[in-house]
Amino acid sequence: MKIEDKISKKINLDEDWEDFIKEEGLVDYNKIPVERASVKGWVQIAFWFLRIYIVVMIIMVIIGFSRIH
Amino acid sequence: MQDYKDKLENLPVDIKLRAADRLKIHLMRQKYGYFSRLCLLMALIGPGILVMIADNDAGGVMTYAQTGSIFGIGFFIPFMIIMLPVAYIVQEMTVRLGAVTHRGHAEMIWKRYGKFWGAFSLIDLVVANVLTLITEFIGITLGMEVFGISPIVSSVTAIAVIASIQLFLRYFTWEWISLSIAAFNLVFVPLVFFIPHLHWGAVARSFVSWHIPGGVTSLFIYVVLANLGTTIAPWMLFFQQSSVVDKGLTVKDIRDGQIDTFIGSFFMVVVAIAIILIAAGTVFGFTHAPNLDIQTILSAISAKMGQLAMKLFALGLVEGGLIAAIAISASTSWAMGEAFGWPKSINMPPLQGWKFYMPGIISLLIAGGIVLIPNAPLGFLNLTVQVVATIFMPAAMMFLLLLLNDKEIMGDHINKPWQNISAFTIVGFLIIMNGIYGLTVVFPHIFG
Repeated sequence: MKIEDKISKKINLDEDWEDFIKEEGLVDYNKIPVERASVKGWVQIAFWFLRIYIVVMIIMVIIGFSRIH
Repeated sequence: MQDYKDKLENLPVDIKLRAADRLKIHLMRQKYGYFSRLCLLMALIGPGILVMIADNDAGGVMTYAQTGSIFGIGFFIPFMIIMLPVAYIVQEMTVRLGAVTHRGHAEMIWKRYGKFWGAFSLIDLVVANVLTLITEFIGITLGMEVFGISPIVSSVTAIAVIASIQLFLRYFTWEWISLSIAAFNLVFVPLVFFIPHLHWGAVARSFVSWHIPGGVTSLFIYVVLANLGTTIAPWMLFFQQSSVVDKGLTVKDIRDGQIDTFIGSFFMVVVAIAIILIAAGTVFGFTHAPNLDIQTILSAISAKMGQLAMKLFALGLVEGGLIAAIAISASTSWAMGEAFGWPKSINMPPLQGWKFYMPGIISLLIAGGIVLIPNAPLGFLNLTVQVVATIFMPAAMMFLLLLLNDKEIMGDHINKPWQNISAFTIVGFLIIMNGIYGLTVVFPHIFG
């Protein structure tokens, strides 16, 4: 049995179906592009903080692992 | 009507199958009354409970057991209560983000902040997931050994079970089977009543005293970080958001998603406290070894609480490893699918969705194989898991907070001020604790 037949068995009214489509959209989101965010202001500061944090943590990890061996 | 049918016909198979599940939800929502409301909630819960129970994984069980063994109940019982809102606040954001955007965390980072940060997050996640899976297989094989089953049999069986339910079941069935396995996580709770000489008065007093046996040492900071790292982990953010998307939750379902997350957080904390109490009641005060292995803890439970209690604890360890392996391998598959734009749903039939299923199954094979290698450096791998997760968590949290404050994509569901304050406090605490722990690595005697 096709999937749409299974679905139509569950509903009796066209109204239900229409409401359902309106609410759910049934969209393939893979086909809808997402815009790049503009990185400025406090977001830019957050990214610089993240870069510094990663560098510091990597240095600490290298020191930590070098002490294990 | 025919237009809609045509529209459905042109959609990918995973969306068609999701539509069938979502139509049931839509029809349930039309009904009034408490029972109908309860049925709707039961149909919508899943991702939150799964992620939280999977968080009490084999590594988590070990961490809580070691915590109770080393520090007793003085500090960590009230600490675990605080972890409830921490886990809820962090994971609730993924529900809103998934329900509003209909996209997973990896996809949102990749598309909103570019390939560099997308690749950084994906590589960190996949590496951390594979390493974490190794700890899950350690738990599964060790736990099954208690029942006389060899590591090779338990490892191969676990891979076969996890891969089969992912490959051959659709999302709805996969979720219910996973939730049924997750229910066994509660096996730790009744064990509390078999702890010899457990004084509930002492448990109650711990909320007043917050006593830290031995004071603040580098070991204490390590254990706090380990508990925090067990409560909120990067894979959890990716898993719950992708799960919400694959289940098809929309903005109308956010409230139920929040209830789901709260129920999950509650059970996670209850189980964690039970394990700490069991370890504190059986091992604390009898040994001071900080690196207690699971065999020592199982032996202590067997000696103090009996064979049955020890076997139930081992069963819980196996369950913890199994449910986490299900969730983590799914999160790897979802994240890879989201990053590279592959079809990404557990609703996909195996042949059509082989690209999606492959990363999760490969990660299972790697982890399941490594635990079988004689003399594999499992302790070193376990340490590396914690290091990668610790570094990655603030980064993953930062992206989550940026996305939740992005009016363009979140609209009215943007973070409220109290949510931002709470989340920033958690990230700040995580970064400070990471920094202090890093200092203890470089200067081991800084806290004596």
